[in-house]
Amino acid sequence: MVFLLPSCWQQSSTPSLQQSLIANRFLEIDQSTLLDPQALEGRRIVRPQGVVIPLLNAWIKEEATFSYCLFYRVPTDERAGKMYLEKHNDFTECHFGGGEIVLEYSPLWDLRVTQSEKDIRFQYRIDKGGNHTESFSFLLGGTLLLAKNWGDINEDEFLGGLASSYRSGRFEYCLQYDENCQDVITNECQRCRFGSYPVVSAKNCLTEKAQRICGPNDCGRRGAPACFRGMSFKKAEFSKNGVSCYEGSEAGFCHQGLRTYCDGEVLICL
Amino acid sequence: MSIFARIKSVNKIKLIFFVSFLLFALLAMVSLWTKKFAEDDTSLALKALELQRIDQAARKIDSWWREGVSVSRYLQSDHCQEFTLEAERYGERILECNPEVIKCLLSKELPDLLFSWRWVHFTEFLQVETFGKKVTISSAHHTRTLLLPHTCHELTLLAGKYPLAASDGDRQNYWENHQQKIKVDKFQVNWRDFKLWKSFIAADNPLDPRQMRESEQKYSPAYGMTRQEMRDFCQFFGKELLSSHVFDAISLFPRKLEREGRPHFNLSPIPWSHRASDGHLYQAQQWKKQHGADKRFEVDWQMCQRVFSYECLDRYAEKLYQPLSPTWSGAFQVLGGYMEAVENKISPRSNLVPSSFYFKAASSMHQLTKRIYWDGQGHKARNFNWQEYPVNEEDHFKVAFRCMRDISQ
Repeated sequence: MVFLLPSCWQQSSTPSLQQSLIANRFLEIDQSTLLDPQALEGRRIVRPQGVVIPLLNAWIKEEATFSYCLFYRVPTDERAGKMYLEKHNDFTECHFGGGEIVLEYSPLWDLRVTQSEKDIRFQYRIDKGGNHTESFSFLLGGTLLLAKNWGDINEDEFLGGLASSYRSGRFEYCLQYDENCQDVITNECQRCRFGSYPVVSAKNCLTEKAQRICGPNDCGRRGAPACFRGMSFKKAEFSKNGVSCYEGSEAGFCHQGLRTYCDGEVLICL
Repeated sequence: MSIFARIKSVNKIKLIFFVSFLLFALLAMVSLWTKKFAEDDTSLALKALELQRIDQAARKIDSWWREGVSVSRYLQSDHCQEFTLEAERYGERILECNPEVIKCLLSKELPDLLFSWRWVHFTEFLQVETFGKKVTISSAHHTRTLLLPHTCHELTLLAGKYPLAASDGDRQNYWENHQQKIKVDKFQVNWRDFKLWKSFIAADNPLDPRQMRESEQKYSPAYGMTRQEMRDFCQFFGKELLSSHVFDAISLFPRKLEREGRPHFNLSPIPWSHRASDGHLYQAQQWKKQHGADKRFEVDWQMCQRVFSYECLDRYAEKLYQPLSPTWSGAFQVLGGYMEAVENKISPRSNLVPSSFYFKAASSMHQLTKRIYWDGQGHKARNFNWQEYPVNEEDHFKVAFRCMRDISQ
């Protein structure tokens, strides 16, 4: 664990936020990415109001198995802004709710982030419209994005060709379930050379993942899988007896003039 | 009498020789060992120094790769000035994920190291399916490899509900992307990346003369492709041509209410406000109503940053390639500038965002959800189904594009 460097804190920092960060030992960070365009440009973060946006993705060399995501709920006229720090067990993108919240802090107004080669500074007000400005900064250690030796990539390792399509019957899943909703193919979609896309399966699985097919996405066309409309459409309120693959299902959408049908495998457009 | 005195004189001489030889051999061995250790020490120190240099280089590459703005500050105070000029012309973001800039800086900063750069497709790194640069840094005794994903210019669409079929004005129909990760190019595909793709797919099929000429503006949007070429480009990089409903999602001002359990979306035609009357497009429409279409509506740079309309061409032609104001999601170049091809999964014939410098600010074409038809084959006026004619008849209407990808979680 890296230790907090007192020098990276401003004297005027809000004690509670500062103390929270210290208590959580979120300290010098080795690598970080600012995620919001307003933050990148050093502007006041005012959009989108009321929405929790990712601000910063950071990780620490000594804690190689997880990363930190800093989120900010942008203030509205009525509600103050709020900062959340989440600890994520992987290095994937920052999605709010995707990890354990290690601290929350409010009220914040007029947050502005500035970045230098040495630190990332957060300035804000704790009183709406007032002059009480405070700030804190994370000192940047800076480390490697990757420091691993890689061999040449073998094209044979890829799945799914350009010609693969559901309509032609030449396709392969990169994520598939069996009748009991257990993974038949564990997620291999990162190996798809031309990407992958989710489909509405005929299987009665309301799991948090959709089955995915490898290859170019031609969803919505006649004979092709219907375009996936989202997980909530797979769930009970949008499905019949927990099944979302049936004629006229809203779980997928098609080109105008076509309608969704279940071909026994996936929801398609005809 | 000592033992030595009792030894015969001949043997004494032999003994002296023998002892001298032993001493000499011992001295020689000590000398050799000392020299060897000294050499080992020097070699180790050199190797450690090389490692430090490589580590230093790797850190620099990593930071320069991701931080266009920092690089810009660095350039201004140092060498590689040509990139400063490019950054002024196209915006500092062109310095992010830019191998040319880094190569230039490295050649001046760390001339003692060897760098090899290759484009690769890597599939395992942090579950990112993408292309990137594989950089090998070598010194006399060490080699280190970095993988730099070519993802600086992508935005991730936040999980949420977004309008579907927004171009039909349907405020309640929606889709959502929870448990889906959708990444979209922040900018329209530029000539540099288009040329790169061409070099991958066909070394013997270079750009045509017009494309060669235009591609000198390397960070400006690439245009003049057929729709199939655009699809091929995106597919090569594991992506797909941007869908119309995703264009809506990244550009429409996010504000929604619930009505009878379904979201009710604000479909403001402009990305910077939920009120259509907020901003200069509305002023231009009012101006046109009051003064007629012929009296010129004056624009300033702030207006042109938001929507690079026909009026901006005269005053700010040199700034056309500056990245204009981002939408809430971080997407640029959504209104004005070049027309943009999209893939419409619901109404396939509504497949072009017409807002561009072909239309005046007062035109109804400058609306986020507005779509017209482009046959995807040619670029003459007859290849488009204009709902409103452009100000000027052109020989070649410029259509740009961008890509997106839907990644498994």
